[in-house]
Amino acid sequence: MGNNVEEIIRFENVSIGFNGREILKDISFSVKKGDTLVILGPSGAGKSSILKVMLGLWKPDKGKIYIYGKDIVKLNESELLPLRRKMGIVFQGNALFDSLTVEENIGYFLKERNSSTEKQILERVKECLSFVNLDNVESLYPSELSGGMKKRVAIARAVAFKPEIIFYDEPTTGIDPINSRAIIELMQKIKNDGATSIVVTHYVHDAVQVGNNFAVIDSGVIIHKGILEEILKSDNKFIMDFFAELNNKVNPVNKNICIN
Amino acid sequence: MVGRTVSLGMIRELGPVITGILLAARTGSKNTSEIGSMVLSEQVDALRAFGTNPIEKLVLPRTVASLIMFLPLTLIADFTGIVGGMMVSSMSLSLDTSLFWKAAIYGLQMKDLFVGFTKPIVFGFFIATVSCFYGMKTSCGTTGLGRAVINSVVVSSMLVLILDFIFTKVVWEIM
Repeated sequence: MGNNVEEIIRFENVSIGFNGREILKDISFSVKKGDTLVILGPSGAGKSSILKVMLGLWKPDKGKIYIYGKDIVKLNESELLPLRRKMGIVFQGNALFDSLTVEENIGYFLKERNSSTEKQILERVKECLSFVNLDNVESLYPSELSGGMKKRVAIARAVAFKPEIIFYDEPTTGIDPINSRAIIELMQKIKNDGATSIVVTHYVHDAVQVGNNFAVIDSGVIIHKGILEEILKSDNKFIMDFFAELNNKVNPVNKNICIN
Repeated sequence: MVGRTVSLGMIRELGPVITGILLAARTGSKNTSEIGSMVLSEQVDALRAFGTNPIEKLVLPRTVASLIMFLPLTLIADFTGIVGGMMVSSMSLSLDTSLFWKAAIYGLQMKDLFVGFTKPIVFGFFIATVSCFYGMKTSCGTTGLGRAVINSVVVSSMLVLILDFIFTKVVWEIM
């Protein structure tokens, strides 16, 4: 259990609640190395809560969470630090440090790890900015950037130290279609580089473009998990409604979206 | 007598207490609102998620800064207060300034200086930790942030007054 080398993340019957309200109920799933799991569901379904529990930011009331074979529920903050250093996260609100410039934001965790010299950090920052297609923004503050640019800086910060696992919390929410497409392309690039990704979103179109495994969640319960083809065949009313528009537009074999 | 009263009052009580209350309002509210807004915008979660200890990055530097800076600020307040006393006594009571300074300096005992210079360090520690604690515990959006700042300033100011009494009482009974 949890010792399988291929299996990087494993949730076993995880439940969490606040103020008497259960947010996640008996959540179980696993993620293999190199996989991209997309957690889909409506707003308030508990998607972001799964990420917070997975990162150890919230402790579940019951259940076990194995990351690299270690049950993180039993670990304290300092024991979690080495595990968290293998992970990168793109927060829904970006969570960029507003008192630091773009360059300092991206370089911050590289400096923290003391693994590089000042020159190497600057080079890596430039590399990451060019990876997310941003130029001449190094000296700007987050408040001077547009929503799409902030999201790209957040992605650059998350990939700066080449994490093995990367989490995306609603990566395209509130972003215009052009920037959304650019972000999806970045996520595909990161996926192709071999990172294991967990994506939380309520946009079905975005989900099918990046994911190879899906979990559909509603009211804190995973109602279906598996590959897209299986989900599209489901006769669950909620899933049929949620994927309604996609059912007519997607060719399940190659997952390409057909343009009407 | 005037010089001694002014210097004793300023160094032992008024200087540390007034500086403490002012700093509880100024530095305490700044710490709580800065950290609180970082909590609300998930910046603290980002620190934790990327493997950095937020206490080490946000609380410790503020506490060390308070421990270092509260004493010099209190010394400035003490000096300004004594100079103010000297000016008033010279202008209103026509007292000789050299006589005032002589009484102000020679009227002080070691324990007055000890109490007067130790209090700011103790106050600094509590103001910083209380304000950072309320900042880290912020929740419920902007209303919650406002509440956290109020709680931080009220609790820090009350602590300054309570600790001032306890500290003076304990030192006076021991020394």
